[in-house]
Amino acid sequence: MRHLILVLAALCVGANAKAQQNTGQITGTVTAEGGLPVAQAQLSVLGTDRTAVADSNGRYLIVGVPTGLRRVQARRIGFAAVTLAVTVVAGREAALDFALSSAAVQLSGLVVTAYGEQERRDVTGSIASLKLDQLRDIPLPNPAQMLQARVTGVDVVAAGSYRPGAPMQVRIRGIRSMTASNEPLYVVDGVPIAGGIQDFNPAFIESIEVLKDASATAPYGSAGANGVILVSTKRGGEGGSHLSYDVQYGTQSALRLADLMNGPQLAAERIAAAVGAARDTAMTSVFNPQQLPQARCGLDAAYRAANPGCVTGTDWQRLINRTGNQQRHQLAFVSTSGASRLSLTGTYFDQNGITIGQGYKQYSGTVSIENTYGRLRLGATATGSRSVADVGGDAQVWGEANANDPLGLPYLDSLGNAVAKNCSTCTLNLKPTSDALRVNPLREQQGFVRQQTRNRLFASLFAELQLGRGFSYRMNFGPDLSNRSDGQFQGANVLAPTGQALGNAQAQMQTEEQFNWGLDNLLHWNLSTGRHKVEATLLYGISQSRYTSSTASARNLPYDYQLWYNLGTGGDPQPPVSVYSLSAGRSYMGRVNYTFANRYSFTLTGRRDGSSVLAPKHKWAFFPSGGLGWQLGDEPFMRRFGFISALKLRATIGTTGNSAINPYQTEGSLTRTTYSFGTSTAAGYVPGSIPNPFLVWEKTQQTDFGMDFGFFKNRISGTFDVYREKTSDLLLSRQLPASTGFTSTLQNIGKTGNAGWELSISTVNLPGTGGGLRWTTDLSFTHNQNYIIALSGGVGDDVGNRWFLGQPINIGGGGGSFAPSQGAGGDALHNVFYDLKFVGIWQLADSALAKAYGQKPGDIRVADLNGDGKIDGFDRVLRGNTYPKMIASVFNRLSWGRFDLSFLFQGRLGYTLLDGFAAGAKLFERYNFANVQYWTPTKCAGPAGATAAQQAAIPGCNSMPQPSAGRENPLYNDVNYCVVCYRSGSHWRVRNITVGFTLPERFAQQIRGISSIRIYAVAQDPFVITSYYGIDPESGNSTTPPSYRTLLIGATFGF
Amino acid sequence: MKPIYMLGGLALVTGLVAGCVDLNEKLVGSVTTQYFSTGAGLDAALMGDYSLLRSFWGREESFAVTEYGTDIETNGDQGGYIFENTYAGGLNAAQGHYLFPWNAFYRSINTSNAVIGRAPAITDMPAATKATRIAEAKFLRALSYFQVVQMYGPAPLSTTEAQGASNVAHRSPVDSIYLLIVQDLRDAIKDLPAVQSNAGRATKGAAQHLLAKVLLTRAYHPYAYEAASPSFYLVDAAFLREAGATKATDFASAKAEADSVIASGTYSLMANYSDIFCGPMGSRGPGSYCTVPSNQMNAEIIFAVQFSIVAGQFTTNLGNTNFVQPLSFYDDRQGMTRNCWDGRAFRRVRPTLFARNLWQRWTDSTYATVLDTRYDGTFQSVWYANGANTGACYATQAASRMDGYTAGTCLSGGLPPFGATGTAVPNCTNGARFNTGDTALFQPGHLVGQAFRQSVKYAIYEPCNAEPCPNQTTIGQYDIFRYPTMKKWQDDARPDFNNQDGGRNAILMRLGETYLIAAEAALGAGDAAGARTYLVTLRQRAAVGAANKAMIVDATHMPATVDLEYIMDERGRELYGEYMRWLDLARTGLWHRVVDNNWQASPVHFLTGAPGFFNEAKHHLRPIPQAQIDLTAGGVQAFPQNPGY
Repeated sequence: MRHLILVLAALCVGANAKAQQNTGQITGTVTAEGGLPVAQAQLSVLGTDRTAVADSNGRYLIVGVPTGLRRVQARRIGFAAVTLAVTVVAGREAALDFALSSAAVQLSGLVVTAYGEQERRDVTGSIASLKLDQLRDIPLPNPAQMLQARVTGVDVVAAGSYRPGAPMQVRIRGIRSMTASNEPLYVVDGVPIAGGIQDFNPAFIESIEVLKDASATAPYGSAGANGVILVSTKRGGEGGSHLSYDVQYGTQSALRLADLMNGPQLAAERIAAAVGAARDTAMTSVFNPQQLPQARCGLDAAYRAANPGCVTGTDWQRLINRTGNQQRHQLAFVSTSGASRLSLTGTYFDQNGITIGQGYKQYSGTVSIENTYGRLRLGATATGSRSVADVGGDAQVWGEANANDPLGLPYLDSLGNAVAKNCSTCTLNLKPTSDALRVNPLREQQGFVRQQTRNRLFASLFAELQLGRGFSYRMNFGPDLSNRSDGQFQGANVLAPTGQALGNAQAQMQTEEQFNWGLDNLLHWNLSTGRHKVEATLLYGISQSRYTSSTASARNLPYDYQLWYNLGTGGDPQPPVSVYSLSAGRSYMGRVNYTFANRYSFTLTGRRDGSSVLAPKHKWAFFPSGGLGWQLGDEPFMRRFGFISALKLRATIGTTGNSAINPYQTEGSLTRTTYSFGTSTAAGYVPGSIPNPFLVWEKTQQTDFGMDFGFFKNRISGTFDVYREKTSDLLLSRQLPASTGFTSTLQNIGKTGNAGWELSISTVNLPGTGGGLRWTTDLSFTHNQNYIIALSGGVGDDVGNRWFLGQPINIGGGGGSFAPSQGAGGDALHNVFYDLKFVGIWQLADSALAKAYGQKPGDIRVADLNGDGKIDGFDRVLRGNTYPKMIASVFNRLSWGRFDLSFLFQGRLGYTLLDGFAAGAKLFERYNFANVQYWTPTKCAGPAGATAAQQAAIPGCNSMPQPSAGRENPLYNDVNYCVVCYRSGSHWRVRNITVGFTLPERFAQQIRGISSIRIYAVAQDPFVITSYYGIDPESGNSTTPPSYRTLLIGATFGF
Repeated sequence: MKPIYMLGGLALVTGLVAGCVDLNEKLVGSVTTQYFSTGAGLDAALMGDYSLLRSFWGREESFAVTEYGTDIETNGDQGGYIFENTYAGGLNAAQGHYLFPWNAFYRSINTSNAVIGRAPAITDMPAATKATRIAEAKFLRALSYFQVVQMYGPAPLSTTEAQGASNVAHRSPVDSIYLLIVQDLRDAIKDLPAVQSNAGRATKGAAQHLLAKVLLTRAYHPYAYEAASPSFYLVDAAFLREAGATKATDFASAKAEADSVIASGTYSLMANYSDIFCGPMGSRGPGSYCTVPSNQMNAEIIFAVQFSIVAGQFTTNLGNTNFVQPLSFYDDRQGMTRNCWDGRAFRRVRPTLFARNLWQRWTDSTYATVLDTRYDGTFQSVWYANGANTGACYATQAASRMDGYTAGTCLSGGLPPFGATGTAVPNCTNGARFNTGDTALFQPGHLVGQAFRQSVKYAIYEPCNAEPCPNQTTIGQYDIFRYPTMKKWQDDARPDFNNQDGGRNAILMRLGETYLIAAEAALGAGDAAGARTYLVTLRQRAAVGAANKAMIVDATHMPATVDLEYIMDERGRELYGEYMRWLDLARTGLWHRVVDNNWQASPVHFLTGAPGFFNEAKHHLRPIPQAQIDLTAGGVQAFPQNPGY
């Protein structure tokens, strides 16, 4: 291959040599404001294939330029492009210097777009750019976090868990699909990456662009239906070789812990529960011997006096919580030599997390090379990463800590007495109380071992060939190979806390391999003559995705420390499982961008996609889109408005499609079953899913109107977009009445819409001219409303699926399995809550009425909305949904000389969450519960003759029911309902505070070999402001590790 | 090289690679429903159909909906489903306990429909085998529909495999459902062999037993009820009745089918009642358990849902969990820790006071002689000290000494021998500690008095003999924690004592019940004397020794003329805890027995503190699951809820 390239290069050079007789050269410097050189600026001689890249001093040289008057353009992401004219004389060198001005990026400058780059001025679609300085200043471990609260229309939250290494969930302009994916498409250096960018090294990212509307995403067709995130990597750069080292270290602590009952509070609740169940309320009857001393210590003053130093219980959350730390080292080497560029980075990241037993390590390396051989440009960026996540018991451990009895004690002293504090001769108290199923969470943490390792190798490779006359051909190839292994081990006495091994340790090992690749062929054509500027692109692309996995598991392992590494020795091997799937796609795309008079821009795109996962005869679909852009501010009649420095209007319309469903859904599949006849195996099959030969593309029609504006010489600039999307033939996993023999199927059903607006405003409050204080503010507001327009068959609301016209789509779909989820509580599995209306607690004065409903005082009371004298499905109402009505953020950045400071606030407002702590069944005598006020007959009786209203007004008497021993599921707060669980999720948080200082060079250079030093400190997620008493309203629930704040310091050394 | 060649080269590469991309799918990792149209596939579908039995039977739901809230069983201290005993507000359409069986039965019905519908076109299977497979599928379909119609009343009726998704459903009249069930069973009886080579497959006897019970149930069903409320059926209200069938013919046919099973010679009553329930653990000591080893498919069993603990024969969380439901609290007592033999006590279900007095256990005031062995065959009386548990169920219990018991009341002496085997109960002889194997808890089943209690070191729990019994006591009386613990389904062949995946078969039909069906059918047909004969056979099996066999049916111990109430009493004695009682009450309509005998369920005692809400008009049927109504096109207009819910 190498020889071939050399031959090709030599041929090309030869071809050029012939042409050289009629050519000259252009050289010069590219600088920004203040005379600083702009490295990596791209220079091109318009109308020719001659290009060059500026070195770190901003110097460039273009060779082989045809003689005559030539127009040369200098471009750099983040700067406005400048075009200058120069006359080239054969055999001579012409001088041409450029002064670029850093642009308000939403208004002008060069942006990366689908399959290319474009002047921001000419873009008709809705594209948000992440500014370079925002990326550079704030070092974050996960690329997705870089987008958090910084780009309008993009909502990034933790995907259900805050454990180290857990992925983030990214949604662009809400959700539009229930079953197909809502994940955006990630494109690295022009090559789509199927596996996401979580393994990508954030420090290697040059810029991020988010494509939001149909016109911008249309070139990616179905893959881009949920928006596209374009990542451009740093490619080489400053001339010569340059080495830098970045190190950071930080500590982490839980942002909040849940407010659960402590020992005395739980002891009082247990006694109240005994009262509720008409049981003996003597402490000796209510508490078992393990609980009794702590209960007495908490409730009995005489006992406390007689036993000084007695303890009232254990805070289990704090026992498994710790101060975590993280460190990160990164070494980067870049080298530029003429037309070839090379960069290498290596990163080591280590986070041990705030939960004992968890941790995350990531090693990654990226190599990026790019070289030009005459007309041929070749480039490759390849990233290899390996991550090792110690997941441990994770949710189980937190679930245990939250549920465990605070009256139990965690340790045993040398005499076997339970004690609160650990000591050198102490051992773990495996079973803190007599409850045979409650185990010490510390033991749980030791007994659950789970390690997920992931190796990933992905690359974006391209070859670009200048064909002359404005034509160029480019081939992209993006292979992405990942291997994942997930080993789980559960020690013998994790769930059976007997104090002795049961000989039933079990383990499982799952390995997965995913190989995705995409191959694109692109033909570009550029023409720029006079007032016309035309760009045309044709694409033919193919892609394939292959997935295999296998799982082995065994029970009764002979010894613990083998973990999952010797499953064959298990006394009870389980049947192995293996999975295979393959899907493929093929696409054709054509696009034309046309700009007239540098003021009127048009974009027209058509794409035809074929996908293997859809039904035969429905595999292909066509997706057109178009856009208009008008530089209104440049019109002569606008000049009278002097304060307007830029004003552009945009309008786009288009259709995108989504087929991101699992393969094989069009065919009815069978499910393997196990049974036995006597002692012999009788495995069989039952129908698993209904054949669906009618699955077709899900299509979304989008319209977007946008305005980009700059006022007062761009001191105030911003972008405003309103949009509306209609998705038809929505692919939905639809629940069916079980009398059909199936509980769900996948169908194209109904229409949904998204409507919203996005506003981002950037202000330069203090310009910082002359080295003074510079202060900029970015405000962003995102509003998106998702709603169902119609459901198939013309029927109205589909209550069973929680689909209501005008309401957001419920993508939870709980209840599809045959087993009702125990303890999940009401609509826990849904995003749209439809439940009974909570009106308080039945009071003593309500006894007779309560009896009519089969209830008694102290029970949860719900509204009989239709007044038919009974509570049933007709009494349910909408109780909110999990989609925020508004996401707002404020980013401030101050810089003064060598100091910089930035802080970022974010609000997610107007949504409902289901409080996992109040859900289910816990006001009885077994599990710990949130520290709530509950009803008791003595407290809530009130004065003689009190009315129900007076009784309800007594504090704590109208929110939670009477505890009752033995009653695991209080009515209306059981596995089917959770009427007391809906809470406002609105919150504001400080996302990030960063302060940095760049050392004066004369200090830095006193250390031998070092050329520059920057030091910084970051507080990530330091505060949240919310009325919710649980962990974190963003996505924390009862059994997830809590969210955490990170305080870190770091330094970057240049060599 | 000219650029055009390079372009061509790259395009060629693309073309070659593109050839590998095929948009047509080929399913590799699984099979499609086409497989069912082959002989092997049909066999697999039928085995799948059998496996679906496990998604209801053996699960907590199956015990709760068939045993809770009856005249003989009431709730223990634990559990989220106490409302199912008290009939309180939680017993509603949103309850998973009614969704769960509904989903399981209809999934099974659809699978049976697939087998029955596809079989005729299959060519690679011998005709005789095919006929048997169709008959088995019809048996399973009848079993599911029978359960549906008893629990929910009018219900969707389909005999074809679902093709394509549909949200259309409506309730068909009970008569139409019974017509299909009876037809299916008659077809099955014709084609099923008397004995199958695989244990656990449907047999002719099983189909006959089931048909007898179906006909008996239909005999009580008032045909007029259907036509009286036609508005209930919005679509296809065709009241399809079996031609010529009346109440009288149904009783007579039921008796004939039951007689046929009894006379077939394929099945026989076990000599010892307790031996019917010998699980894989075999003998577990005197006074507590059966005396024969593993006896899962004994001569009395007609049909049982098969369970196993062998890898590849069970699915985690789909084992038979019901052994845990009726166990009483023992593991917090001196000398006891939770162990496999005594089980994981869920403390959900306990016998009512009425039930405890059903058995004539002793013949005289000294309680020396056992007359009806079925009490001891049903309940555990003794718990032996086990010290620190060693975990593995099969492991020998270590002979560790128990610390901590220092009461001065431990004197010599003990109890007279009792129990089916007549073996003496080991007891404390000398002092302060329990040895492993010592009696730690004892439930004599009658009052023994203070003097005796103080003469032994083990804990004694005496009956409470008048309602309201206390919820919790500390004086050694039955309460909601401690009560006779039903041992019929006890299962110690599990990986550990907390594991709920039991491997014991769930017995759905046995010859003992065939006798009771025959007796009830004979009575319904007007032959009370004939009915008594069947009961005599069962009662005499329950008595040990010739003298007792005579005594148990004498004038003192058995009425000369039996009535339906007496048969229900006898069913209680014989079939306690065997997934039937609620259905027995539903069949016979003797709901007054709940009001009279289940203090917790009875609304009569509401003002004295019992939270019972039983209402016959509403509770004779279970609620249609809300999900079924919500998901059906047209909602409750198209799919009405049962009255009262």
